[in-house]
Amino acid sequence: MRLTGTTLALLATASLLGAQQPSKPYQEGKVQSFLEHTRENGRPAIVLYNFNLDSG
Amino acid sequence: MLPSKELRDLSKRVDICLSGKTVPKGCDIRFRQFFWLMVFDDRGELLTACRLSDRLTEERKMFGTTLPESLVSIVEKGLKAGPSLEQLERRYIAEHGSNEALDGLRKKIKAMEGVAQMRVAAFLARAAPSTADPALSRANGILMEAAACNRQVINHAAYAKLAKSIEGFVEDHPDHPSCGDLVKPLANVALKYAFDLPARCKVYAKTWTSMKTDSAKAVEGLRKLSQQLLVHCDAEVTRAATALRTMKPNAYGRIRLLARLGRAQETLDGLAATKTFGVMRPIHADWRKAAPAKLQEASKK
Repeated sequence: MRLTGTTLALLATASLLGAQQPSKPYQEGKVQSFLEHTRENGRPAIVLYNFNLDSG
Repeated sequence: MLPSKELRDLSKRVDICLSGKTVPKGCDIRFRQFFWLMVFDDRGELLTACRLSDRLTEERKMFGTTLPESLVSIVEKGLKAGPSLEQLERRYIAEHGSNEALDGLRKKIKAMEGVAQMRVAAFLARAAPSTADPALSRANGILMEAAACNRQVINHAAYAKLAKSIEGFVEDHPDHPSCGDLVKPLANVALKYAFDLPARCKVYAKTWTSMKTDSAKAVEGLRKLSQQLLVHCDAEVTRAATALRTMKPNAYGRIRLLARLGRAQETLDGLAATKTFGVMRPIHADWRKAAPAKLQEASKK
């Protein structure tokens, strides 16, 4: 399949927008591996248990 | 709160995890239906824990802060809430189970609203060999286990485990003065949902007084312990009977008191008129077995 110039431009714009999406300032789930990782990196951490993501 | 600038700024200093329904290891919590915050230091040790919704409300009322600002403030305070629980555990071992070190652990658990209570109960039993009085450390662990059982959603298995812990302690240390401290946790917590408390207590008393031991001190200790349990049981029976007299037929806790007093037919009638739900299923199943057995036993006499 040949990609037209317009398609390429659209793909480039989409990937640029994707790259600009700010990452979340928190991790969701997998709390045990999260804590192991923070311990290895020597960073303090907080865990929010039972947090309501919908009303968050 | 989640999309806020404050949370983004906080995440530069502190890693944040929304754990869903998973509790971090060693952070057993009471009342799982609430929303909790747990704070760990840079070594991954537990500094504090709290019911976050209550604390957020307090902060907002006290300082007039926004929700994200309140969260940041609570976390900042939490990060200064040392020593960590692990540090206190290390201190307990280093000080061979001193009263001060035990007090430190108890205060920490209280400050954390009971979070990690079961973990500390297990720790006290595990650390017993490193302490000056291993039996005392084990007894303190059982007392903490009882406090944890008493402050959580009804858990049939946890009550049964507590009863086993107490039975094991008396068997291993029949002459230890801490045996007497375990009478109330046995009758009031481990046997809280037991059918026919007087009958259960009599079985314990008989077991203890007939326990084989070469020590005269242990024989005397077990005799006194049995007596103490029966006296406490009598007081509990009076309390339950008095409470029952003032209760309406459909009052909450009425069937439990009927079962506790061993009133077999009334317990069965109460069960027939009640829908058994979730946590009560194994307890009601016990009562459904024990009550007819008692009626059958009575009919033979």
